[in-house]
Amino acid sequence: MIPAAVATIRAEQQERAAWPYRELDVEPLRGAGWRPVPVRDVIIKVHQRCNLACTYCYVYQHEDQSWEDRPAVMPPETWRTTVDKLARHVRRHGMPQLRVILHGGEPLLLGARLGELAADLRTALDGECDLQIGVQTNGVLLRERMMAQLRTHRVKVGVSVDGTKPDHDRHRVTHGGRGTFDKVAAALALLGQEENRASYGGLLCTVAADTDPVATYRTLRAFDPPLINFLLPHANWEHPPPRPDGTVTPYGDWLVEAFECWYRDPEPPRIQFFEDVIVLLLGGKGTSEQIGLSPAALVVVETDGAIEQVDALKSAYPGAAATGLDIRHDELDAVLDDPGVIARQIGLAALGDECARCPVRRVCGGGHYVHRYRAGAGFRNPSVYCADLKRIIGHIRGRIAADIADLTGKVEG
Amino acid sequence: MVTKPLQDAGTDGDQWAPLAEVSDLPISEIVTRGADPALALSMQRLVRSLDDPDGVISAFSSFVS
Repeated sequence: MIPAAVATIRAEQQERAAWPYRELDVEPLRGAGWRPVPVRDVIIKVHQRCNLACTYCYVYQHEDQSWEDRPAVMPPETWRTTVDKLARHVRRHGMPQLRVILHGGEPLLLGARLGELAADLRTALDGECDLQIGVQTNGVLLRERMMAQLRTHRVKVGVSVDGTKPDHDRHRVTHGGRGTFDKVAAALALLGQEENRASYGGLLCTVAADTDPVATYRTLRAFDPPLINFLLPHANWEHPPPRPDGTVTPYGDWLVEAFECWYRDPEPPRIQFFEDVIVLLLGGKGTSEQIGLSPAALVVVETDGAIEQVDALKSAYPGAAATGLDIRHDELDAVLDDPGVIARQIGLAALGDECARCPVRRVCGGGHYVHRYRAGAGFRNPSVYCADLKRIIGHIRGRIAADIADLTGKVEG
Repeated sequence: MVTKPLQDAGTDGDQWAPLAEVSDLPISEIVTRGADPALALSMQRLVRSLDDPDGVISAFSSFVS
């Protein structure tokens, strides 16, 4: 029996996205032996507001505006329930590892309370599993006192930075319109100090096709991050990404140039997107949402307790991330019956006919699920970045093929 | 040992030419025989990924575990 709140949400989802909400038939998959992967990553929205007004933000600038109706800060009782449910989830599945991302809005707006939340998580879960805690921040509020708290509770810090100062300051601005690069640079200098180095998670850079990829790479590289990732701006067939000068594959071209900088770098940092492409080309599994066919085992808990799918879906249509579930009444496992969650765990079966015919499909995996959206039809379409993905994947494939053949010859010889 | 490299055909028969065949070779040895640093990083990740056969997606892309 489906709870009324869930049934209501699913009825709304069916109107917006035929795939998966009307067309995905799970029973044949189950009959063939498919089983869902339990949630491993939980994104907790500890603060619903942000001190910045980034131009491309999927929470505040896109279709879904549900943040306005939620509490600004997660109430203490909702937080306690969330922690209890996480512990129960870990015990139920005997999970060796759980990752919790404290997220927003801007989570550092919580101030000292953020350290208390991390301490709660450690108290409840450290004895149960290998608990990894992360915080994704714009970096503006990351100063000594906050850093000490994050260090104390072993919280990894991921920072969003969009390349050079002019490029970053064009998009990542305060509500008053001022750029934030200098404050982010100061935060990254703090993270780079020896005592904080273990807390340095990495950098997340949203690609803008009209920027210089070489300058972007060099700027990010200079912050000495343990990991960089490039994120394609969230877009879909209803709202395609900007393509400067009418170029066909500006994002693919941009990534090719950035890849060449990285590949020629004698001491390259890790770049997840490029590593993923190479690993997938070699027959391994991807780990990011942008590429590959790996199952997505992640959920969001909103400040009001709503259990939702990843909030990047909010760029598609209002309510796209909703499941109708609530951490105060439901277990995390309940999301494994949601068609939207299932669609992201079934690999090739989630791809449409056009993708099924494409030889690139096991590498691109259809691209980011969010980028496949077309109004009414839903998410069973090629990515709006399909041509860009083919461009970068084809380039990397060509680049490494000769190198691997050469290395193989050395080993065999 | 690594898995068979991608040489997959689409349903319309469109096919990529295979990458070098490495399925019978120890990848750790390939890496130590002079792979470029970026390629070596990726191959090391491939080896680590063998511990997680599901290859589950991580929530955020800006963290080193």
